Amino acid sequence: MFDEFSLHITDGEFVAVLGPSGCGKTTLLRMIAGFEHPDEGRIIFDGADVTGPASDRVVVFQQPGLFPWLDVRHNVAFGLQLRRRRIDWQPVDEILSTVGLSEFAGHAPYELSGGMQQRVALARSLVMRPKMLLMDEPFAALDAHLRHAMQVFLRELWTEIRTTVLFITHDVDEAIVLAERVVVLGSNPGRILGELDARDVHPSSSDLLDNADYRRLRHRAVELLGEVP
Amino acid sequence: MRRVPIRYVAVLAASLVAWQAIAASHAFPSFTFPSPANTWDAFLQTLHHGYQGSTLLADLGVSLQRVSIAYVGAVAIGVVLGFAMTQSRVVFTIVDPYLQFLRPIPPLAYIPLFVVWFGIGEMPKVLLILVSTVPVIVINTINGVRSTPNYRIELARNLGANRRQILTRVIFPSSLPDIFTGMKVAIGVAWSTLVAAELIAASRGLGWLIEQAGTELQTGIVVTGIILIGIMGYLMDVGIRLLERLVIPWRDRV
Repeated sequence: MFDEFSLHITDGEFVAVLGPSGCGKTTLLRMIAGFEHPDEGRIIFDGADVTGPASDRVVVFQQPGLFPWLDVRHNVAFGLQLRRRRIDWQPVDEILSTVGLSEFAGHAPYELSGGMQQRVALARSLVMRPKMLLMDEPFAALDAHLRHAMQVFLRELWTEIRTTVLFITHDVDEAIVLAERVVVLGSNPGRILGELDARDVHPSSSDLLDNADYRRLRHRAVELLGEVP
Repeated sequence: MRRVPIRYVAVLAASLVAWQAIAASHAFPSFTFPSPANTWDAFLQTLHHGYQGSTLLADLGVSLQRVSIAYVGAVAIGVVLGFAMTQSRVVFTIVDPYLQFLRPIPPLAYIPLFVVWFGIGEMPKVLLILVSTVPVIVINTINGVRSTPNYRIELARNLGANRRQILTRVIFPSSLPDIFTGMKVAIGVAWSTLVAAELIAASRGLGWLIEQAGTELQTGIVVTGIILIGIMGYLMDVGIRLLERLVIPWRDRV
């Protein structure tokens, strides 16, 4: 699936992987997460080979996938309660407040909107204090307005906690505004077409269309993607 | 709980009137076709004085006791067996052929054998209900386990769940909607199996009551028994639905 593929991500980086469907970006994320294994080559995380999933690399999927039989608070605490039955609830309540859902702690997931559910899913991952957050098109199912709000939110959150993030998307704008570095993938076989330095563009940047950096990056990204045969 | 629509009450009232009209026309002799009033008298008679030494409530109690013991047992056995079959290839290979071969046999066909083996006491009835309902629960439990969305399992693994934790904290709750589907089917099966078993071989219970009264042409008591059997079946169904709403309010809302 991949050909001469090499990607290095530094501690604390926010990297977006941008590519058309079928370029293997989800497979890449699933291999880093440890759900799948490469036939050849290695995936090294924090100095050791990845052999399976672990809570130091937590995935946020496109679907929030909350457990409907648990309320919001217990969904967030799910990972911690796997380790011990009696947990310290303080980090749980803190992270709920960080994602702005304190008042919904006792609600059932299906009582929440899609964007709120995705924030719970994010909180459930973050409470594990992962070294790396693997996000697989987490906002793709949301409508445009909500998606933008979530992008602003995620970017602000990241500026605060500086966890390493690998963010998969097929949306050029999303990749540019969110990440510091955008890796553009092509398909058949999956390979890196190029990289963009997007440090200067943020989701909260006012009026992107007037932003020269944004226009240049967008142009370059489309150009790279256009090279796909 | 959804309210009973007014038209249902109307249909019921209309059939009561029709019933009374047919009875009053004397088209059939009153001992073969009891009027609503006859039936009400028979009801009061069996309620207060009983029939052949046992009151209506006693027979009702006996039947309810049999069905509840067997039903609770069937759900417990069915869920455990269903889970065991999904977790162990060996258990599945051993149990599944029985399930497949025995399923087409109507449970009532076992009655003669059970009577020879265990007589007409409580044991053969409970056993018969188990035979007819355990497969229903097992099959639905297996369905539930297999239809657990993969992303839930992956999420749990990702957050550090081991095999046992995935089973108890993800797969079990995920399979509850299917288990309840099985339970709703099984309660009807259990009740009708019991009544049928009591008709054939019993000395107590609602099935016995209507069979006994029938042989003596006490059709008022027979109809009383039939209506009571219907009402109890309906109430059990409502009970399981209430329990379902209590245990899995999230059903169909995910």
